[in-house]
Amino acid sequence: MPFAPPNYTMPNLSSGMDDAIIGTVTAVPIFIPMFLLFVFGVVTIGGSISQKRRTGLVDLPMWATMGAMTTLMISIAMTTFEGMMNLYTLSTVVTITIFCGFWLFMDRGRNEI
Amino acid sequence: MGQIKFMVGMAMVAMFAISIVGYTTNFATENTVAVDIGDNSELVNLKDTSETNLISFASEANGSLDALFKGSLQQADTALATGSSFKTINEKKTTINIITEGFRGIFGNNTEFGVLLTTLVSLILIISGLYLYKTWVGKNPN
Repeated sequence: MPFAPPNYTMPNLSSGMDDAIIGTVTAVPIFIPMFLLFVFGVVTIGGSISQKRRTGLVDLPMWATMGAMTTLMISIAMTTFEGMMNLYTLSTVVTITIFCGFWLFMDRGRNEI
Repeated sequence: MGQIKFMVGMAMVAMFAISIVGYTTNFATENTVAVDIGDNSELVNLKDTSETNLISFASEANGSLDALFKGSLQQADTALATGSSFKTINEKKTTINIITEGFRGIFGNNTEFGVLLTTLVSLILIISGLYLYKTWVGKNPN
């Protein structure tokens, strides 16, 4: 039985991995926000669970800020590639980072930062 | 929350916001990027406003401290009638700007979410007002 052609456009690897990734991002625009959410989740949730196991307490504002800053660094690196990042996603990441910082500094006691 | 902790927190939040937006903007300026955060005028305005508020806060705080050191109280003098030594007005503006732009960035200008923003801003205004009143009356600002 002959192989049926797929209903989607296959990624074109002839011009390199960069174009294959950007072709995927163009075909599925939610890919990059989901990837950034994954990075944020790994750092925040993974760090919180690890701290809970080690010390018994969770400093969630700190882990949220660290996750947000990691996501911001990756987002900024992605802005150097045409077609990978858009302004709305980058602005949202910056806003969430500022909010996590706001939560962190409001959570601190008098003798802490 | 004590007033000192509140003031330190507000100043830290403003400096954090300035550094994050400044880093992102300068990265776009110095490298060849496809997306420039400088095109988002709201975030750039937030950074500029926070910088202006922090600079004026720094000069007012230095002025108040100078007045405190160089002033004198004689025996049987009445206590300071004004709360000018502990002004926190500009930090309030900075924080309200940050919260407003943050909510607009995440939720958009939707009217349904406007109630969240109004409530949060009102809460900060009430807390600032209570702390100013406490300082005016002469209680321990901590």
